[in-house]
Amino acid sequence: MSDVPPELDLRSAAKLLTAYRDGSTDPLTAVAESLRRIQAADEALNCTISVLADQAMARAKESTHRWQTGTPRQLEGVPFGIKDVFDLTDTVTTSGSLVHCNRIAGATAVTVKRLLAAGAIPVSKDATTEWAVGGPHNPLSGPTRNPWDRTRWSGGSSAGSAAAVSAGAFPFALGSDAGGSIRIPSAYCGVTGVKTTSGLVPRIGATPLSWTTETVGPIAGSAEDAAMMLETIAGEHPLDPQTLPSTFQAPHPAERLDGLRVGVPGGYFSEDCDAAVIAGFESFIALATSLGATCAEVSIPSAAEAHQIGYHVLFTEAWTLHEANAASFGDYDPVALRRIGRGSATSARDYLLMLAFRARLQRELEAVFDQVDVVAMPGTPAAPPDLVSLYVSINGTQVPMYQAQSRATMLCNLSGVPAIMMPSGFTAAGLPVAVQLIGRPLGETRLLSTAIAHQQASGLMHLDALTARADHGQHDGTRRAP
Amino acid sequence: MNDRQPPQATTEPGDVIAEAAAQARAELRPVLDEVARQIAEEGEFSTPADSWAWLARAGRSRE
Repeated sequence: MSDVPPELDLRSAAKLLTAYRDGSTDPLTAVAESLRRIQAADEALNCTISVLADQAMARAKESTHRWQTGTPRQLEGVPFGIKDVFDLTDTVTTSGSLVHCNRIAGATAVTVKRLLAAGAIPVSKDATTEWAVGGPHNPLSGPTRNPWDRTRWSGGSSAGSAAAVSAGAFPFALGSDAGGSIRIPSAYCGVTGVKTTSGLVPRIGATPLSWTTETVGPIAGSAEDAAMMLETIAGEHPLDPQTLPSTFQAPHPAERLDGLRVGVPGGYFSEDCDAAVIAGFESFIALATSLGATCAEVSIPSAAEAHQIGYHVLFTEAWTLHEANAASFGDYDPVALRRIGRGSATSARDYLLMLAFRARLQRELEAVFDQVDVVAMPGTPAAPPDLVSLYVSINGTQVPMYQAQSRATMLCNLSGVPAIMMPSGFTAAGLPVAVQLIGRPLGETRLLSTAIAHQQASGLMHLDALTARADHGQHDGTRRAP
Repeated sequence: MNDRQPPQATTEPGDVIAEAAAQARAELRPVLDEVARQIAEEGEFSTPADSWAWLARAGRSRE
């Protein structure tokens, strides 16, 4: 193995592929470094369930050979993380639960297969809250700490994936999102996460939680890298009847947003947000406008009900899946049990009413997207929660995390529309805050092109918690040097 | 960092579930009653399957 070049940048898949192409590094070197960084990140942040060292190095050897022989595939040699709800043959998938702590997968998830077929190399199974619905203090693996401040939570449920990307262990990771589980940790960790249109990405081989609300998508250091992963994993699959033919193409980077119509709903989405979050949102709007976009006020009157009803659909469907595990409930995370338990007594009538509400919400959004191309709103109402109290601070007031964090996210899961969460700035203490963009069904290309233009203009991508913390005088000196 | 701890079961699972279900019922009832009222007033002919079809149709016609 060659020495690690000092400039080796694992934060960007695009840069890594360029480095492979020009011969300045190779997959053996990069994957070895990625393994070193994920182990260091796990020591500091508790972000990993298992490290796939042996199989990653075997794949890196093949990838290096492919680059040497001129036969690289689309993502040849790019290391990535897998939220530990996705199966990988002959590897344990815990789903973050003691109940599945020894469950060896008999097959590989469709999305992981697609990434493997593109030459990408999994290096870790990343920590998740239990069943992707439990609390931060997971009985199996403990809490994942936030790279920007280890006294705070990473967010979840795709906790380890977002923390590891933020820590620079690999450029992207595969996550799942049933109510905000990609976007909330992305917001808290200063990375970019995409909740895909329901049906764009197959879910076969992911631990099921909610048929209606759950989706699979990328968590990355930038929108450009998220687009690279999404292009690989999107598209219909014969075993997943809800999947749609992919219309997604990674957008060409554009410097301008001329002609883009941005809807701003205000009201529910801007209420009860911390001033730093609002400032980040306003800076996004100002930058988008300076790049040529126009903004218009739009209305989503059912947003608050969508939050409540969406979670009840999720918990009802999760209960339907988990009731058979009743004998093991004593081993469940009490938070997961309490949340899933909320759906344990839903009547058939109420379930049908909720799905009827879903149809009405979709028509409401259709009317919005007759007027605008994307809708922008503050991402999470506050910076990451304290790991002990599990409260967030909104303008100095302590608010329970669960009451606040997903108020802008569940709407997309219930309706099925896509969304992207990306950094929009920082609090005075140097913690990241985020903006969320929502698009029309299968509108991921527009969402990502908007995000790419914003990130190129603002520089809010591939953020490095280590450097930023040093800038804010908070660096504790224990992080690895890249 | 060794944060791994065994679960701390403080309440019987059945009690946790029953309490959660009762709380959800109390919180959701007014919301769902309003949905039912609107449907009765305005009509609603969409089925759950239509919601999935909407995603495909809306995506095809708009992008």
